[in-house]
Amino acid sequence: MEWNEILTAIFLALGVLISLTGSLGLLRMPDFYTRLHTAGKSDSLAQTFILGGLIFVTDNWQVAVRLLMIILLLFFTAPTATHAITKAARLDGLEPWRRG
Amino acid sequence: MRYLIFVVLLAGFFGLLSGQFHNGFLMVVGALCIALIALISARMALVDEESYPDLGTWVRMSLYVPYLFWQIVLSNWDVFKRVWDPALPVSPQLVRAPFSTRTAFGTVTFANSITLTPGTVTIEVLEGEFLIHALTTEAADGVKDGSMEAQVKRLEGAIK
Repeated sequence: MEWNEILTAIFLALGVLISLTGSLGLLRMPDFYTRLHTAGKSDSLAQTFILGGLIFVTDNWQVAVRLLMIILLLFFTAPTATHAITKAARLDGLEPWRRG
Repeated sequence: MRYLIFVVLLAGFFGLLSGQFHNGFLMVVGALCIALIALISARMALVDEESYPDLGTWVRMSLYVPYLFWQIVLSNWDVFKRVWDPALPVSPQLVRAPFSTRTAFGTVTFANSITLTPGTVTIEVLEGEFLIHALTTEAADGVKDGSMEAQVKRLEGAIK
């Protein structure tokens, strides 16, 4: 394998691991709000690793720039979406779970 | 001047996404679209100092992004450990954290940064404070210690 393929493999593996953690958290967390913590946000780092890792194997600088733009776009939209969902739950009167 | 930057950015965006520089028809259509968008944006007064800040803000922004990214990595690691821990050591709670950012841009960046770092989600922006859902006590304390706010305020800089 070329060095860039190895780099991509490492980035993809990290991204997959973080995604898996997000999914596991979704199953294990006790309520809606805590699930959003793992689901909505492990994604922000996972997508950066997966899309960022792909940049190393593009044969075209335009594709690399487009990937960077997608990463940036998700960085702005992901927290906004999480916030919108959380606020909707709050307005609906959903009480957060508490230990004990 | 702002409209010049606006048009250059639109042209760059179109060029990057299409990449068909050899296709004369597409380039002409692109130029027409940019002219139309600039016209509509001018009528709607969308291009103001907030959406097109000065150069200094861009420089400070490029300093802020690596800081934010590092915070995201750190807190992801924290959530990562807790999710895989058989005991699931979380103690979710609502906290109120005051903020004193001066601009809408700064407040939005601050709120989004809190949401981006795992362990905390901004639920609501109230008068002078955020309502935050924190996954752990440590995450709640982390928001209140003010280090991120200091960074955001540095980012705000001298916007009037």
